[in-house]
Amino acid sequence: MKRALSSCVAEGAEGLRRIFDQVKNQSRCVYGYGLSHPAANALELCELFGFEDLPRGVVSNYAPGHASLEKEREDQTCSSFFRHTPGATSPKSIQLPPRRVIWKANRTKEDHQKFQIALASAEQQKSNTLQPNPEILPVAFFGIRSCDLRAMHTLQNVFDVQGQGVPKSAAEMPLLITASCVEPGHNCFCTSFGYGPECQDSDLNITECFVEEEVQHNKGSESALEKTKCEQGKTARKQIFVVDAHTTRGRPIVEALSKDQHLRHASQHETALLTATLKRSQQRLKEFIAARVPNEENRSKVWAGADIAKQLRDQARSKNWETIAESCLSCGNCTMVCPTCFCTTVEDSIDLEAQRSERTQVWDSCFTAGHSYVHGGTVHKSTPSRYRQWMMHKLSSWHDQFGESGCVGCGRCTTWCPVGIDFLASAYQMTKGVE
Amino acid sequence: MKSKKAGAQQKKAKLAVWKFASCDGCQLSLLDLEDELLLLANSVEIAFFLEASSRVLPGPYDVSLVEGSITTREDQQRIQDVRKQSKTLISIGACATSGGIQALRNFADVDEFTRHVYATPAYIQTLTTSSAISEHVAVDYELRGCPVNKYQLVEVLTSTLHGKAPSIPNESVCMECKRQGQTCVIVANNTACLGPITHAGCGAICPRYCRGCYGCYGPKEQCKPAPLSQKLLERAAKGSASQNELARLFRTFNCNSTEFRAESLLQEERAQKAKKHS
Repeated sequence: MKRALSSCVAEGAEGLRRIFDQVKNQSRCVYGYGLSHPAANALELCELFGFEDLPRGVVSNYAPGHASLEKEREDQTCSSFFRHTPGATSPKSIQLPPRRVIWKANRTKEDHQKFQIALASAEQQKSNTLQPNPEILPVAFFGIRSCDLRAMHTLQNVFDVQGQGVPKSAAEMPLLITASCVEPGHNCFCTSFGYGPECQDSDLNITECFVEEEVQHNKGSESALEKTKCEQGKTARKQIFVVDAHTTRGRPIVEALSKDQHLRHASQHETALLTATLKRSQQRLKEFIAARVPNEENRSKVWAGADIAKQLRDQARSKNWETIAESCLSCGNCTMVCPTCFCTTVEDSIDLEAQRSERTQVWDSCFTAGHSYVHGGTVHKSTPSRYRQWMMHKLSSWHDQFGESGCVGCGRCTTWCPVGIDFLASAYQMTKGVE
Repeated sequence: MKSKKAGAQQKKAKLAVWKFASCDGCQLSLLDLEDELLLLANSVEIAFFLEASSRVLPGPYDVSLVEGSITTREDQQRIQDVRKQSKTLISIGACATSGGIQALRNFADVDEFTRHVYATPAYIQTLTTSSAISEHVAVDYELRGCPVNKYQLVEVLTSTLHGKAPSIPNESVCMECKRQGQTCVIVANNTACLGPITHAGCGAICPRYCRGCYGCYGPKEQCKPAPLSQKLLERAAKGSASQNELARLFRTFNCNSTEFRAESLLQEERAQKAKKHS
């Protein structure tokens, strides 16, 4: 595994707080995963107003069509910050807001046949595509994951290809502080796409590791890592955050914090711990994927490649789509939570006196009848044909359209499907062909 | 429908609001339009709206809003008259579009009901079913909901007056729910929610308050209740609905709509079978 030359270490919650504050100070607002209310059963991407808004001591528990949060035992000294996986909402809701007015038109006073058209202000459009005014501080994301970052790139690529992208300077880009997934979710499959669970192209990546402070003679460090609950008294568990800066924007943050002694270079032992933590995470991901893709050969294939695209294309007329989509409700949840699904529709509204008119861009889904409505009717009338459209776009035709995979392997579609259709297992079944 | 010279002294469209078997809630949505009511009164001639005014202008009417379901012989005749007098007929609300909660009678013996409820059942003359307006006359547009969403009502009226297609999506409640960044109550809380198979329009009010959708807007396009029922039953142990509860969940304001009716009967039958076995 390629490692940054010198990882740094922040100790305990206090160390993480310093990093957070540093990021907060140099950004307009910070987005990250948090609890929308204290009794919430799932994490959502929301604005983090302060360090306290980070979900502490929360572990997410995902299965197809199931999500819950487990609280770690109350312990101020070592409850975790990043043992959860991404929440239901993704940075898509900031890159591409669910609703936004594109233009407004007013009848002119002089001539009732004429309209004054006001486009949504350039500034508003800019902030919507994550390109704020350079004079204003950038937006920051804190604690998002490698799949989120990949999805953000995928979505930006869509905007660029479609000509919606605006050329931007590096300073206008959001500040990206990622966290490694030390506890991957059951529905995750990022490694199938050849990346994860840590992030190597963000500005700064944080990996949360736990060290057994006084390793008892009967407990090895390996078993200490396996411990999920902090057992106070018996073994003192210490929390460290290994920080890797990858860009010219990340490095100054590390330098500033190092100068104030809040960060120090990682020791050899700590680097080994980091490697072990990530290795364990990778191993778990492998197990989760193996449970859904039983075929060894298929599992080892990198799904980001054109191989899967071709395999699916060959199945375009397969009868299996009907089997796969048998329980699909065509409700659109998968596409709403997908961090790369970019389809929108427009809603036109006028006032009662027909003096004003407004066009609003709204998230749409290929699971609605309106999505494929053309002159003469709806193309995708049945649910299986909508399901096929969705899966084939994600894994196959996205390659033709945008030169990469439309799926990033975050597993949200599987988690948030009300009937628990497993996207990965379904895709695997489809590639096997007719049996 | 109308696009004559705006601003000029054009003849206002005549609006009529009719009531059949209903609770008046949908008509009230019209009076509930606090910000738009004066504008509406300015844009149309309110020609027949007994809930609001005793002033009645003779037909024909340009736009008729019809609330309520057909439950008596008189209503069967009256809706024909309303249709004859209306250029555009829009049925509003669950009663008018599917038969409403009073369509529960469609699952039972109406004679038995009247015997139990009324001292002199012979005075009661009623049909054995409650049915949607569209089962009796041609309807130009159906606006769903129990009650209808007042903003959607304005949208339908405005669109009708100015000849535009109404922006009323026929997608699921989930779409509205997720656009607002709500957490799925089925997935995260094991709540029995009909959102995935229910027509949008309410703005996902119930899930926004961590409650399951009651299906007030009726079945959505491509409505497939079976897989959802199965999933909810699997979650029954975790607090979702039992078979009996499911039968009741499908048998509310839109109980007479094809998909909900079939599913409630199926669940009821299964619940009874299970009871016999145990």
